[in-house]
Amino acid sequence: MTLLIMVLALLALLALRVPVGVALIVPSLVYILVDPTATLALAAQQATSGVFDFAILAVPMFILLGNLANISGATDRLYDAAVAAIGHVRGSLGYVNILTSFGFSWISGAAISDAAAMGRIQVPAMVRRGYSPGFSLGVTGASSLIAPMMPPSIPAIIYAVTAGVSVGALFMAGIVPALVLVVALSLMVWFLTRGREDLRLEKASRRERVRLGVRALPPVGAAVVILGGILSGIFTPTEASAVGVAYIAILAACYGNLGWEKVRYALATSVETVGGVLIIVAGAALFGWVLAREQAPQVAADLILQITDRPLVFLILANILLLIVGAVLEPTSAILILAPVLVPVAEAFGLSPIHFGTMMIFNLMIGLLTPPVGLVLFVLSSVTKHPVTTVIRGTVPFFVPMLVTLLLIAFIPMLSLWLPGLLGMV
Amino acid sequence: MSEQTPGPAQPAEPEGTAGASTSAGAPAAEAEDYSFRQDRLEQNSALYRWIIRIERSVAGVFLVGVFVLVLTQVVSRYVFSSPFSWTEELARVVMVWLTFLAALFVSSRRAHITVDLLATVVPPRVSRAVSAFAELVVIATAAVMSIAGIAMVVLVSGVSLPATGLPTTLLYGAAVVGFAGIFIHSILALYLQIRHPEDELDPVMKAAELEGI
Amino acid sequence: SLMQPVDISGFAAEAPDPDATVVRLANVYEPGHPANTCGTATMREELAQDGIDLKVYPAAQLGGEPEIIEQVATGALDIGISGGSFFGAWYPDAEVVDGAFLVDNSREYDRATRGPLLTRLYDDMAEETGLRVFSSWYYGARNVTANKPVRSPEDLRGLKIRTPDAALYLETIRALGGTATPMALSEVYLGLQQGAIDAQENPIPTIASNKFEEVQSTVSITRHMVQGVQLVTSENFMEGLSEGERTAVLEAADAARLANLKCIEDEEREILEQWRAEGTIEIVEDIDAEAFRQGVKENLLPAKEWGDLYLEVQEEIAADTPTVVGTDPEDSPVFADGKTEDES
Ligand code: NA
Ligand code: NA
Repeated sequence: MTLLIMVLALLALLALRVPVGVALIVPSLVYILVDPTATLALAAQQATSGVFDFAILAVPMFILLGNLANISGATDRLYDAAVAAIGHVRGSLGYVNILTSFGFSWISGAAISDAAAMGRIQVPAMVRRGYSPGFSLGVTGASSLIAPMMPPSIPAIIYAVTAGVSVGALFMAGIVPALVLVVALSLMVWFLTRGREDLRLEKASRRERVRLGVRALPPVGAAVVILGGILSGIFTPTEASAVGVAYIAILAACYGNLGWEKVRYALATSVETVGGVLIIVAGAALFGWVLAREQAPQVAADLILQITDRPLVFLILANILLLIVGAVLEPTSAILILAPVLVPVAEAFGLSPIHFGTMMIFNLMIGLLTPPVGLVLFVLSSVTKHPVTTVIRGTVPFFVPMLVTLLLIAFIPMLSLWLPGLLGMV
Repeated sequence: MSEQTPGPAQPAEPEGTAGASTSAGAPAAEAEDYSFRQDRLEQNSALYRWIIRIERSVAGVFLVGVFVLVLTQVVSRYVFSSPFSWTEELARVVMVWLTFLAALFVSSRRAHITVDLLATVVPPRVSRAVSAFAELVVIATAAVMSIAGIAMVVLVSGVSLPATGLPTTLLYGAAVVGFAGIFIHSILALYLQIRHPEDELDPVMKAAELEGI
Repeated sequence: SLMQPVDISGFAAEAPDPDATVVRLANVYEPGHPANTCGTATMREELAQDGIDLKVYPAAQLGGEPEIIEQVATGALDIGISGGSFFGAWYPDAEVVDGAFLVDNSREYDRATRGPLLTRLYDDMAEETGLRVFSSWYYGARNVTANKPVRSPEDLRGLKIRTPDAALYLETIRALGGTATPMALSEVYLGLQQGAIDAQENPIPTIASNKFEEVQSTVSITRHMVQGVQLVTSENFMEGLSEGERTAVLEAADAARLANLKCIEDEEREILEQWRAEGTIEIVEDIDAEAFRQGVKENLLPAKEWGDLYLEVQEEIAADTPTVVGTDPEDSPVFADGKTEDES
């Protein structure tokens, strides 16, 4: 009941153009003021603790990385090279978008980091070359979900610790589903751009491709430095975001693009995005605390158990529940609240907690693209300056490949279990 | 809600499922503009101009601070035999301040993220009333949250953070400052909205401008 | 097989008694951790008989340890569970229970926290802060995992050990000779796998539930911190309860304390037995504990205002002083099956 009222209030406030962060705070404040055992101070505590979190540090860092990459000229070099390489393919920038996210996913452990870094870089470049803003935003948003599916993955770590399964096994379990997502998104790009000969660029000469490829090597080096650094243990995935910023800043200096005016501009634009996004993270933390305190997701999970004793029906209902919860809760809170309730039940139904975890994570990641609390939507809107409604509209077609991928993950356990099994981890 | 730092200008492209017109060649050269747009208050008051400038700079310094601290953590692990134990917690404290300072700066730009579900379907007069209502909600919320912040600061007075030993009041003080700032900026925004509605872009126009139509 | 019905009756939600008094308890441990499966579960069952509905929020659902304590202080949360050192921020002497090598084993820990000295400490803390610690549950003995045996301070030299992000843990590891690196628990697995850190230290159940044995070659049974967690409430909450309810809460916590003690002792033993049988990870037991103790005495205690209290508590245990609160394990039916752990 509380869940329903809170979500309806949130939707109403959003419709009345109340900023998302405040719209999350208002129903929570009302709850706290009405409940005789809750005290007002908690509102400040929860909003603050939402951003007093080490993993969240990657968000401002990747936002800054995206802006520095733009002023440094690194973005242009990457784009010129990628376009020279496969620009003659119809809809090429759609594929480039998915593939860069795929590459970035080995560096980034969170979808919002990918959306912040890639959105700033990719969307304007695509729009400039004739792709609609909706399509550009949609493919960027959908492909940002590759990051938390591929290792390293922040939600995978949180699920593994909460459900008591191997982090390594869960990491491995995400690789094949991430590849399925890459293929499914690429097929959607093919479908949406079919017959659009105008989205085919002139084929670059071999000489030109080599020249532009070499020019792009230093920016590509960022991925090598970050991934290499993580794999060799020099820094953790969260720390990697700051190392990436340092690398791009050095690159900008080498290109002579680290002038005061440009740096000031990059910082100011970053601050605007950071302020807009992190205040939503703070509001979502408070909102999530109220839902957790009311045990709202548990109540919903108990309801499922009263409906069915068949694994298939359970899987379907669990997915529906997760999609709904994912729409209103930030994934970390959702995992912390739901994994303890659902995983023992899933195991009783004979499902592997690794398989269930992979499904749960992807399911909650889809929630990052659904209103009312869709952080990737807001990040994309903020970094690209396109209205949230355009982002929402743009992502609609991509729900087809995402939901197909979700169904495949849910009903073909081998997709998640084959690789960890091969490595003897399950 | 209209004042935003201008991004690179976008060429006119209508919206379609998968892009509309063609431009097979290199993108058009853009005139990069690294200056900041000013609103009516900044144009008329040197004091206010300076306040905005300070807010922007301080938030930028905190952003750089987060970066430097995380980098220090990595470097200290390799350079010093005993790495610093305070970098992680301090980075998180600085990020909390960054969040609230940046949010108050964003308030001054009227650039908080909104979901304009109704924007395109209601007449401009209703739309303006909705905006004013939203601004009032923000003002009230910011006021209550400032008070909540003060209550929290009072509660934890004398308690220190585990790694740095910094007073916990410093942590929750950020929310007080941030929401108080949002409160003030939102009152100014409401004033501008009522006295100078012509400054405000109509939401449809705003969407069009951003999408380069 | 997905269409076959399955018996899931064990998971059906218990219908809450609508008239029951709701008491909220939050902690940061996983639902599968003994503190919840044995501790809070027992407390919940006991209280249900007294018409109290204990709502348990595990896994930091309502926040981390500092936030849980703050919520108890505001009155929004009735009971919180937190490690001893987190109370140090509110009342410095409360840190003493996390002093390295304060006690040798679970039973000494259980006795010490119910002894006259620590009972008085918690009374004083309640008077000064309004925060009332009313039960102490054994959590486990912390041991070091690494990719080499750690038998003496010499072996720790130059080893980057992850510790929780709290000053006392950092100071303890430094006093023991290691290079302390604070890191969030969620980043430790990767940090160990990739070598950002060389080692970490935790009780055996925590090591097992985080799967650190997958990414470390050796666990050295250093038992450098024999540790517990404290149940905290506010004086306001206790005063707001009826006499009967207050007794019910205290008795339920006592029964839960014993159930938790038994489960953790069992789990610490069983996990080690399993690792040994399966050769999962090398277990090193010939530890030079005296050398580590020396490090604590010389490098840690002099810097702490509870240094004297630490020594007094040790004297109290040595003198076999009778406890003043709670049931002794030997008198409890939980331990009646005679399989009690003889730790030495
Ligand atoms: Na992408
Ligand atoms: Na990843």
